[in-house]
Amino acid sequence: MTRTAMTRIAKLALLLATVASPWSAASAQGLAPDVAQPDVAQPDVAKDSEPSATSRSELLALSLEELLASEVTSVAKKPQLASQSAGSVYVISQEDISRSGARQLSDLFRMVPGLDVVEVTPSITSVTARGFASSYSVSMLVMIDGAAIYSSSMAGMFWDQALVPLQDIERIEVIRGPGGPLWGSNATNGVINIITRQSVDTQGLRANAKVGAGILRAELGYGRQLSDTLGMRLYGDYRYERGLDGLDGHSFDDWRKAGLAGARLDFAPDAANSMVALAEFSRSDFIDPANVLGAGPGGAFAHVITPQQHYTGYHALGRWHHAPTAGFDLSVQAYYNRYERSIWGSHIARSLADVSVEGRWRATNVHEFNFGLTARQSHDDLTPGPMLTLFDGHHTDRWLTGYVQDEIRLQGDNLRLTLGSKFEINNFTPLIVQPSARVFWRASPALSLWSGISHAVRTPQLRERDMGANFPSLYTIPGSGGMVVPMVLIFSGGAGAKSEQVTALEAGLRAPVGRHWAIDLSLFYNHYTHLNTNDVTGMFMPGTPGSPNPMAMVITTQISDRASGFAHGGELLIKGQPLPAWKTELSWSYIDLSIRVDPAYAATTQSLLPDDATARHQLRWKNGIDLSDAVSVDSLVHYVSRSKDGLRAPYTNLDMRVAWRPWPNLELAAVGNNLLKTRHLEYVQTMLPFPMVAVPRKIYVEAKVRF
Amino acid sequence: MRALNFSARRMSVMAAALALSPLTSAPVAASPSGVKAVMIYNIVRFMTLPEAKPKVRLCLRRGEDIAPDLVALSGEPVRAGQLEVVQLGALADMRGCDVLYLGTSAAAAGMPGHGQVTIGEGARFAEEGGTVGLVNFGGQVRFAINARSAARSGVKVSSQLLRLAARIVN
Repeated sequence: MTRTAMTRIAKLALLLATVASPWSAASAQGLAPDVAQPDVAQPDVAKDSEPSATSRSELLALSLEELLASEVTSVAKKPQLASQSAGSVYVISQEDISRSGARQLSDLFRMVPGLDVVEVTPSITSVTARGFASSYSVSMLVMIDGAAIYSSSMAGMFWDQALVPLQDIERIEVIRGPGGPLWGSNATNGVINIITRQSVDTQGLRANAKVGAGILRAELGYGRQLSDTLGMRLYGDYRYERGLDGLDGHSFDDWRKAGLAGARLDFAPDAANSMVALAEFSRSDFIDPANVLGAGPGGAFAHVITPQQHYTGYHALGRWHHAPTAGFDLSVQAYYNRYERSIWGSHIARSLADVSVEGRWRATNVHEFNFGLTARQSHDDLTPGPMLTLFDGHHTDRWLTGYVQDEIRLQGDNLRLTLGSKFEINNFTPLIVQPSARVFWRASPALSLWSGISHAVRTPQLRERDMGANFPSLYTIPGSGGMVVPMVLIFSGGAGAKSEQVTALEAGLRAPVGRHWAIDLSLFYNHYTHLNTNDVTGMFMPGTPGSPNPMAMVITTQISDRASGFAHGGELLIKGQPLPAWKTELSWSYIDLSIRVDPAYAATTQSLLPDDATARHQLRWKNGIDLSDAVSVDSLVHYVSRSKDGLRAPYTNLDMRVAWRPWPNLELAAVGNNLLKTRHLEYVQTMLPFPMVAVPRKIYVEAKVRF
Repeated sequence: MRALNFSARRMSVMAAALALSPLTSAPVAASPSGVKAVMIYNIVRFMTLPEAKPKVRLCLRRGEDIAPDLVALSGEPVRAGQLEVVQLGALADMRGCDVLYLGTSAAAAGMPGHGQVTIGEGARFAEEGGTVGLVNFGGQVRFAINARSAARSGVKVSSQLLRLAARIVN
């Protein structure tokens, strides 16, 4: 078995990764100017009259939009300024979203230091932090308003189903590094927490349309404050977009249509109680080009087919947040969602119900406890197709998770030690304990330091435990003079799939420099064990009796956990405002990721999460300039170095947006993505049965109105 | 080896972070009114008065909860000038005030004169003619802007501020 073949096998197995999380955009508790409402929520700082380390000069250093967006709940699960978080945090505000002109949610993460956003196929986008760019995003937990849209059965995150209207997002908190201790499993490399706006923050009619060649994205929202205590919003979006190009620029004639409609009610009878209820429906039809095998007089050949796929999603969420005093609050949340999705001739239906209670209690001036308990159940039904099978046809998973955390204020808010752990009981792994310790020290107004050690876990997905898949491809027999035979890889999930483990050491510093500049540095060392591998268990060549040539090569594999590795690196962000009308951000991120398979099995085993595609260096330079009150120009230059395996060339992207506001309620803009090249390759697809794709330059116009 | 060196460096950073040391300055509380005061200051910064002035005078009634936090912002830069916060015994004499914080006063009091900005509390404040209404909902604060009132009093509201408003009254 050559190494090439092994690589191909492993990559084929990755194919299983596809498919997704259903829930389209869930929007729950949003927030308001200056005060955040976290997901399963703590009270906002506005209710918190206890002293905090936020100095007036620190507040003054924030712009108004930053005041509205800088409260980060994801690190500590309670509102705090990003500058006071003991973790690597980047906040994308509504202003950032609006000025990016982004057409899809996943593109917003291209501005975040240390994140890899790559288009793998027309329907698969991978968003990862600190390495592991691959066909799926399993190591990044994604939540919308506290509801996990990460799918634990098939893919991790399927970004094409994240249809939340971009104009309704308040902010997105991106945490690099393990979020396990507070956010549960599957946040081994990071957490993305999308927080949508409360209905009272989006009053009136708002519409946004982006139109270009093969591009249409329209968003519509109507919000109203019905009384002093009740607000509502109706919202929706629709998207049509031509798919990605082939490497040589030819089109696969693929496209995607997707739409979402939702309604949300916010009820706040008094300052101590708030409630949110929302319901959403989404649907998409899309063409997913795939490689298949055909047979002709010259033997087997591969060709591209363009089957039409679809998904349908339903999501409903309710939450009650009760904060009787500044020192205590409690949230109760329940959500249900269901999606149905076609994939390679199979059909999967998944439903998930989740009920949680979370709270925060400031027991003394020194100790503040966060705690929570969640019960969750999912059910998957899979109608088998030619390539994908769920062993029993259907499967139910159950979880009971809890966490407790003590934040110890050793010197007020200036020196805080946070100790905590999450516990998880489920029906497919032993008890999971994910502890962490973090310290934040505000050494001076000009310097804050933080550090943390955490242990986090990615639990095996249902596809790794209970699914089988067959992937056909063509295989050139080594030493045969180029003889090509069809090859079928038979992949079996099973008990060999264990929880992947990471122990992470992190440290960082933040230093405001003067009133208009700040430096944010994060360093990390991650040690990974029990990474999933694909082990070859058999190989045979069925043939026609009497024929010298085999008809096909059949390889059977079984999942195991024989890889381990480490990563170290850092992200440096310098942001500032050289002029009142000019904001700039420069960042450099570096990672050295090394994954290896247990040498005793190296000949027949391949890691399912290889380090091949990792880009060691990334540079970003983001600028926003207001030429006048009516005209603004934004740009993002993004350099990504060559992939570790050398197969993907380095590339530099330039995105630009020029906006003009002729009237207060109208904004017109021209947007260009990837302006430097006609198209570029972001991910090398060697074995998945999808054609390789290139991300083309896109130019479009945008109109935004508000009444 | 490189990894080992790297983690050793990191450990020293962690140790530094863990080390206790005296604070160099006492923090100021980020109380609700502290945050609200900075919000008001920022809102004022995004408005252009018909006449450029070296001092932009913000008046409010003595005894308002927010008074100490607003007074602390006196002297902060606003456009080409500085913010000057003045506490009044009563709101009867509002001449000379560029910005009026009216608290929960009746909206009728909130009609801005020429070159004036009025800021008040409640969803109806902006609806009934005040320039900026601070709206509490579920214990959180956001703001509504009456673009018509601002235009009538000759005050230009920046597009950035309008984008951030929860509501625009036209």
